[in-house]
Amino acid sequence: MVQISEIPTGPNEMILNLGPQHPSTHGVCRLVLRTDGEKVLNIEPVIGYLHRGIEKLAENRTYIQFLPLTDRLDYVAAMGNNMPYAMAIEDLMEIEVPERAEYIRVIMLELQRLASHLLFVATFGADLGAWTVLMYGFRERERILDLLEMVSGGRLLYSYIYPGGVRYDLPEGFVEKCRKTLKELPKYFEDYNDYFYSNEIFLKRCEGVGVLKAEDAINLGITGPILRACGAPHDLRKDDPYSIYDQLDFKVITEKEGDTLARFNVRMGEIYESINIVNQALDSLPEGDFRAKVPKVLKPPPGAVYSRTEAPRGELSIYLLSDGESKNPYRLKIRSPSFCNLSAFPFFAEGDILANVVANFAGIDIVLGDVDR
Amino acid sequence: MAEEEPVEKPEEKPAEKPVEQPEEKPVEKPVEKPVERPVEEPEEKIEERPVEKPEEEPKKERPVIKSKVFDEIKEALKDKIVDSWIMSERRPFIIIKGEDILKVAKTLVGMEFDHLSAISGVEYGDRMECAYHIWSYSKRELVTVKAVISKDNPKIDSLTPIWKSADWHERETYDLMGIVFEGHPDLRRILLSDDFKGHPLRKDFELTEKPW
Amino acid sequence: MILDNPLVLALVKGIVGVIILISFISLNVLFLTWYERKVIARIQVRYGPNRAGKFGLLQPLADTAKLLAKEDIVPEKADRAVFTFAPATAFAVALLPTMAIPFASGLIVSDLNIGILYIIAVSSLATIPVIMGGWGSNNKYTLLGGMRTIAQSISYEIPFVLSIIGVVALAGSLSMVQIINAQTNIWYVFLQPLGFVVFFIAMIAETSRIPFDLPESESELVAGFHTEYSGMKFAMFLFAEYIHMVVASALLVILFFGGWNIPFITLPVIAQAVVFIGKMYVVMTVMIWIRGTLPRITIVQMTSIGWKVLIPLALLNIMITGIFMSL
Repeated sequence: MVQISEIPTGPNEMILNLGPQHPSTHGVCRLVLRTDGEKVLNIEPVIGYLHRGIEKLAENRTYIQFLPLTDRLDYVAAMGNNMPYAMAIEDLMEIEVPERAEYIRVIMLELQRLASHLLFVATFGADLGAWTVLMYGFRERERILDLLEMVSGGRLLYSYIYPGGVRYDLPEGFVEKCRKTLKELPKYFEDYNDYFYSNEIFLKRCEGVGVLKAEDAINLGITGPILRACGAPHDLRKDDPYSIYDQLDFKVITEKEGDTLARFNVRMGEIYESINIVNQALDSLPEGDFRAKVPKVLKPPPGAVYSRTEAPRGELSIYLLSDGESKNPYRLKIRSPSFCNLSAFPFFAEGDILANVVANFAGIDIVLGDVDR
Repeated sequence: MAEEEPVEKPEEKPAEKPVEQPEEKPVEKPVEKPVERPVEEPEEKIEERPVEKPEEEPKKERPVIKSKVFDEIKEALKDKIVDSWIMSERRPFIIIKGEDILKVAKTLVGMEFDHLSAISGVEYGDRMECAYHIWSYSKRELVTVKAVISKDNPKIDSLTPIWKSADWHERETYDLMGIVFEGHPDLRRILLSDDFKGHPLRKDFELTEKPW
Repeated sequence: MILDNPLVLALVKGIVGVIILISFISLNVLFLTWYERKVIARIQVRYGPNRAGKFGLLQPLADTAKLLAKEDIVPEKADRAVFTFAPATAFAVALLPTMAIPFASGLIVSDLNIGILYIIAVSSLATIPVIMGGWGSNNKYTLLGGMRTIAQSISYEIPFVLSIIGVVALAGSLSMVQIINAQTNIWYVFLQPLGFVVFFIAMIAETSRIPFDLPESESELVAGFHTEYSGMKFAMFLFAEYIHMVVASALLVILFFGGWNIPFITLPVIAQAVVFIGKMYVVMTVMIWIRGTLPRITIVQMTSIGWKVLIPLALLNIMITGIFMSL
């Protein structure tokens, strides 16, 4: 990474700022480009516009007071952010989570993954200039948000997954409504197939853009759908299983080419797999408690734990250190997927034309709340 | 807070004997800690005591799988390790001195630890630690390496030649914590603005004072 | 009487004709803004404007009132003369081709006998105000937008012209009315299918509609060459774009769909005008439909389609037409 403004520009070169306010960057992210006409020679992401100091805030809040703050990390897929934090506290305090709570958690996580990938499809089309897909993607996402609102009361930020279980039990009628929604969704995805795969312009814009090889990706710290699109079949739900993922049967979607079209295909495949997982979990949902008995004031014993989960965008992990006597965490470090994916962005996006930089940026699917924390 | 802990340890040992794995940890620590710590005491060793519930051990018996690579790592790095234990399944922890980090990293890369997940800086009362969390896709284990460095002049070698993902993580640790990584190609502030004074994640950062 | 003087008569006829023409085109453009928003909204599963007046028909008036009331911002380091004249030039240049378009037999402001040549020549002037706007704003985004326009216009001007040659050869004249009269029996779209396809694609590119809207690609360059414009100047650019669309669809109808002719029926003048405008709106609906469905292409793909695909097809078309006509 070099600071672009310090390199003197050659005769035909121009320094162009894409952002922070821009219709296509997904949030406030500034990309400094050094271009020669339409070809981009160097890219430097400048971040920190949304930095809220969440790690420092953690040291001044109790464990339960901090839980709503984790929602605000990746605000598009908020259920997934509570999970590593709850898992970390449960590891430290050695709490056994009841089985019903685990199944409910998995259902919520996979529904959230579905909603997040639908948002990716919508914004990806919008960045390429096809505004209709934006509307279609959000329309499907609304159905999933209705389900999540039934359970937790919120549409975007939930604070539903608590240390020890979940916050409320599933309401009546949720299981039927969930099954009905999931049965109807694949019919709407036929529209997407028509829209994307039989459209020559879309395929030509995505093929061969931003090619990345698997060894480079692993060294750069990339995780999530981008890594799986390069041919490396690594998914934390299978490699490092948490919760009850080792009892569910699902495939890890992998593609070989490593370009933007492969990343799109991986996410579309994961949408179908999520529907599959939720159906399995609904079939074997046991009765029981939805929350373990946890003391009112959480005071974990001294220790350190590093808990990892597979968020829709990659590996989301929390390193939690507690000293045994204070009610606040001693140190909380959040490893967010979008931060690491964005740091690797210049490696595969340089050297292409400006329009492909935008297509690439849409393909890595970052959320600025995750990057800046 | 933790003055009595080393004294209590010998009492706990007999109670923990029936459980195999956790026994390793309390046995090793009280012997080695006062001798081999490079900096002084177990006063603020906050994370040294992962399993500490004397009476409840037999009830909450989680089957902790012995980490497969733990012995390999101890074998390969024998003289550099200051302390080591297993936190839970697939999570070995080792503690080393700050000067050895580059050699340790090269050894680990040779043992197929290819994914550097995160770098976190932690500040204690008397020292700073930089924790590296490294995962191996082929062996499916995550080893956490904590490098102990001094607090007045926190400097450590940069790991960018080995893992390119260390780049932004080190910039963030420098920005928020103040640890200087030598050999980093471009060490500047990343999340805060360039004219910010101070390092916010330190414990002595005044929250009410204006840093500009 | 003063009106017996032929010069004065011609002058009065000309001025009255131009005033009627400009008002008619402006009315069309205003209606078209409403129409486009409604059609795009229905494709995107939403209602369009439906609050201002019944079915939102007064929405264009509301938009005009809003744009008139906005503050007119000129960037500090912009080239003031160029910046201010660009929208006016755009509007003026867009109106020039409308003079030679017949809306019914007899309803034409000036029946030039080189009608189609005049229209092509004048419509290639349309890139000048875009470059003026792009340069005069002193902004890298607008400069990029202006450069892209030049590349696009040059690439697609040639197939645009070449595809018309077949029609002109078949009709035997460059005059617009003659071309329409030559289609009383059969429309040229059946005789020149290849020419029709090339002309349609080149027309979408010349009017900067999606999928060829690189000059004002919204998600990449904020708003392309008219980023820095606000208020009435922005409205002028918008109007100019819609006038281009109207002119281009009128051209398509005249050259390939027989103008106001329906086979086997001769119509009075009013009916001819209605048929002509109806056909024009069908073409515009197809253009709006394409806008709602397709994404945008990149500049590399655009230039390669223009030079490597369309020009050979247009030349092939001319060759085939020539062979058939000599038989």
